[in-house]
Amino acid sequence: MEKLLAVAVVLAILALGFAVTQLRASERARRSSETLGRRVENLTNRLADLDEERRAMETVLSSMEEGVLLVSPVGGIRLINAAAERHLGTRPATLSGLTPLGLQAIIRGAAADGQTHSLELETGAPSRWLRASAIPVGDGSVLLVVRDVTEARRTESIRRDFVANASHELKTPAASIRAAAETLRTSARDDPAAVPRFAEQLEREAIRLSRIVSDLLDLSRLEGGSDLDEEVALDALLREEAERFQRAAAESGIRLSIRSEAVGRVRGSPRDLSLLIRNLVDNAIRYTRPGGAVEVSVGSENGLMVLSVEDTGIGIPSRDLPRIFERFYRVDRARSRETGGTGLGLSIVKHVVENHGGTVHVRSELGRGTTFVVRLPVLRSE
Amino acid sequence: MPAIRSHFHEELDALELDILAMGELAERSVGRAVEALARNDRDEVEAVVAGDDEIDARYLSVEQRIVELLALQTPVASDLRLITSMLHVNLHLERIGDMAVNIAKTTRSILDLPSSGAILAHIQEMSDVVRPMIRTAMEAFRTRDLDLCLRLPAMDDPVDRLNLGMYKEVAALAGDPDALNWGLRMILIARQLERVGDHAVDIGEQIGFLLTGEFREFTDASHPVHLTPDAG
Repeated sequence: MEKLLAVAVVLAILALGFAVTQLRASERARRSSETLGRRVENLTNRLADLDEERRAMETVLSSMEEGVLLVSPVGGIRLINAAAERHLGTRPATLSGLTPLGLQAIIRGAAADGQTHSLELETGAPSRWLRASAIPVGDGSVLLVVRDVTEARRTESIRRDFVANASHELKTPAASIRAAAETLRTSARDDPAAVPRFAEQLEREAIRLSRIVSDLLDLSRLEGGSDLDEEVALDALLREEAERFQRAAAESGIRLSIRSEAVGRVRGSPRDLSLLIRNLVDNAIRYTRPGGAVEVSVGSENGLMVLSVEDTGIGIPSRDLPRIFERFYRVDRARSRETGGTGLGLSIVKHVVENHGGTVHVRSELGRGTTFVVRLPVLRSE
Repeated sequence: MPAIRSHFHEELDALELDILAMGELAERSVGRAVEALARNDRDEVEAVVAGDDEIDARYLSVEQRIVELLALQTPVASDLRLITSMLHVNLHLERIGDMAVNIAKTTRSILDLPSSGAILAHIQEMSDVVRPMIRTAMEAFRTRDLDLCLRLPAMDDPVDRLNLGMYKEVAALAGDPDALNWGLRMILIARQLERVGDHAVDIGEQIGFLLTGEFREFTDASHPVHLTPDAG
């Protein structure tokens, strides 16, 4: 009996020990599980953070106007955003597949010397200008940043050329007047026969200067808008000016034909619309050689009033076409004094058309002639 | 087998990129040649002549790789059309590069002669029209745009007229032997630019074939289409 009791006690002690061991193991397992759970949670949170960061980065990159492209040291494209794809027109997989070729050159240059390389290049049809910078980023990779600078270049050239052109147009007649006045002072005494010639020069340049001032005042007024408070019949306006145009054309030996059909009325300013017609027709006569022809017509098309001025004149080179509506812009500065314009006429035309909610388009071919087409909204009858 | 076909298409893509690069080089070469003439720039003349080596090297590389593809892969259907189109476009671009060199070499021979601003403006205008034509043709190739191809013949019409108009401009120089000598070379240069325009149209025809499977000459020299003056 005692033996049995002793065995039972031993067994109980063993069982207790086992239970304690199990309890401890279970506690350790619980703690491990908790630690693992926390780690999994941390990891999940970290992954979520990373995912959020990646999405934020993608949002930033995809909403950028600048194209961004990351090239690995071995020439793979590691990252390219939507703007880069848009600017380049492709989504290259490797550096060797990147066009325009100039971009490859600056990336290779930046990778070789660790310096930023930049360039501007013209590409595509219709033509666009891209400005690109290849920036080394440390691990042998190169970041390429590409911007479309077509509009910025245009604005910059307008700003730069305006100052030079305006000062040229204003200084030239002023210098001529001064020279003629000085010569007159001495000629009156030494060579009285020359006086009428210099007096004529004086008068001509004074008229020219006065026309520039008058056009500048018109432009300044038009920048504030036109008074659109009258109903204007453009065909009637054209007929009013016809006689003056015919006289000017005949003096230049140019055949002028005017066709006007009765069209609807335009809401606008008769004074400004007259300026529009006068500038376009005067321009056509001025840039057409004797023996050439100018055809002016007013009609309607798709509910719009269409004024067309077509000449068989010298034409406009394609590189100048996008710029002819700029103030003081001259296609051929050397010829501008012969033709006698102020360099402001087409700028006035553009302002009048825009003030009246219309459009103006030009087609031209060098040596064959030019056509300006103005479209204006016709007033709806009540 | 799939791995071989995958390599085949990778090689087609690589060839296409090389041809686009050729287009860029050829177009730039024409522009530089005419600028060298306009600025009387001897260094630029030599740069254009030297730059043609790169165009020639690319041309030979592209042609050789195309021949290898034809020999080893026996392409069919649209792949075959793409390959034959690229073979032609490659040749047209190489010829455009040669024409830029011809312009540069002609310029080299008249650097010391008196020039005419009006004729230079005429030549520059031709360059300003044909270079966008090359870009349009290559853009049509890159974007597979048939409409862009079909614009090329109309873009070429003014080039033909400017080329014809050059004779009248040069005739006005008849009184001065040196100026006339210079003017006669300008007729040669205008002719080169006119040919560049024709090559751009030919590239457009090849892209048209690639896109439609039907080869159609946009302009037929044996049945001349009378050029009607543009409204403007």
